Amino acid sequence: MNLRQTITMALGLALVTLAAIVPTLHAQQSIEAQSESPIPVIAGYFSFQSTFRSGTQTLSPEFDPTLLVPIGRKLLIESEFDMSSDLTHSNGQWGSAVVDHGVEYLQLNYIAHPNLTLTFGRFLTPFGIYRERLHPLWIRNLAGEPIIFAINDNSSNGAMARGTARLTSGMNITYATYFSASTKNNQLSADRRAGTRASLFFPNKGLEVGVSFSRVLSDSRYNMLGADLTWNLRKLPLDFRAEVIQTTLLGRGYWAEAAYRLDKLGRNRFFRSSQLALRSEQYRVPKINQTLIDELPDRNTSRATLGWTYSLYNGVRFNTSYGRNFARGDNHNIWTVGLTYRFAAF
Amino acid sequence: MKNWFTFLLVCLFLTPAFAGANSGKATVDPDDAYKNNCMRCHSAVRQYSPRMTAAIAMHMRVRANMTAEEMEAILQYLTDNAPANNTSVAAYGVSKRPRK
Repeated sequence: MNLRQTITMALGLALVTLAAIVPTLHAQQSIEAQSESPIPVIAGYFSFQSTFRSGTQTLSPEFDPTLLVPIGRKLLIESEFDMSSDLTHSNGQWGSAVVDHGVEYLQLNYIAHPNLTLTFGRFLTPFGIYRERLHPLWIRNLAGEPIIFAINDNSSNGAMARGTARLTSGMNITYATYFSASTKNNQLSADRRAGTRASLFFPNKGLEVGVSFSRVLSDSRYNMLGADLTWNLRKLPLDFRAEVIQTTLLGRGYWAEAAYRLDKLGRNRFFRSSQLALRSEQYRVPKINQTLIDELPDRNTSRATLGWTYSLYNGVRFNTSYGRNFARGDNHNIWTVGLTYRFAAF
Repeated sequence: MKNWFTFLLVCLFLTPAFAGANSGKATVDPDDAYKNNCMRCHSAVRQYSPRMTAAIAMHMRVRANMTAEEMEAILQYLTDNAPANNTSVAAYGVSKRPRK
């Protein structure tokens, strides 16, 4: 069975599943009717980050507004627009100021069933955990992205079926399967690709283990395999996240991150609002040098980063970090300091 | 390898269909739902008006792969823990219940 047949079969199964569950929709008691009806919301964040590394300073202002437009209780249109710039100061001169902007996602979600949501439009590619869950700066433990994030820093244009189901009282299964068409537009660029992510989530243990697969079908065809782990410990204020990616064309790597909230150390405001994070990561180049993604290092690279975030009132958060890059002929320090402001209104 | 992949896809799509019959019967504790889902990524959830919260919950239901019951339980939790003077726009406040 070739890939096309597999995708056709997957989509067919999705339709069969949908057909099987639609008749039950009207029979269900709508527990959702008990809550307030949703209204449109504008949310997002401003961020200003400064990064210092051997002889180079980079200032990175960013503005990401997000719009949520619910239509009843089953339909939601949501969009995030990204506008950012990297102003680089190197060798005593400032580089050009170019504002990058694009649509991160512009999607229509139809909640077809308690266990199934259909998504159409442009959406964050559900591969691993970083792109979908941690790409907003205000939610990250460390402002800098992992090296391997560049492998999957993209959105898809097409359709997606996703959802979750409770298998037992202590275990959920989640899934997301999608197909994306190739788009060359600057604001809405996307590769032709198909993929899926599935995970087992153990709510009472705070543990989720996921696997991802993606097949890129553009001019360069290659597979991506990924695995991820999220563990929120119950007895300690400690969160652990890790992700590993293996690709045939872009190399492979992993990152593992631990975040420790200091609120157990004392009741004063400083401890309650502080968090320390430590990340370790490695990237290994492919056997044949890749030229598809400029952000990926051209040599095997390891990096360790230690950061501190402090949450102020009114959605303002301060962050700083120190990292050390280890690569042959490219050992250097990376300092980051920044502020993020999160807002929401209607 | 491809047969395994196909088999996994079949399981993936059929599991929710069968699980759906049971999911409506389960009850989810609001406190547990909040801690087990929101606090995986958010150190504290800001408080907004109930209708804004309902819209944000729809967004997070899709993004975080939550069940309908979990979303309703979280809405219940946020309603129960909302500031008393919560107005139509924005009553901001850090969640009163710290992560344990």
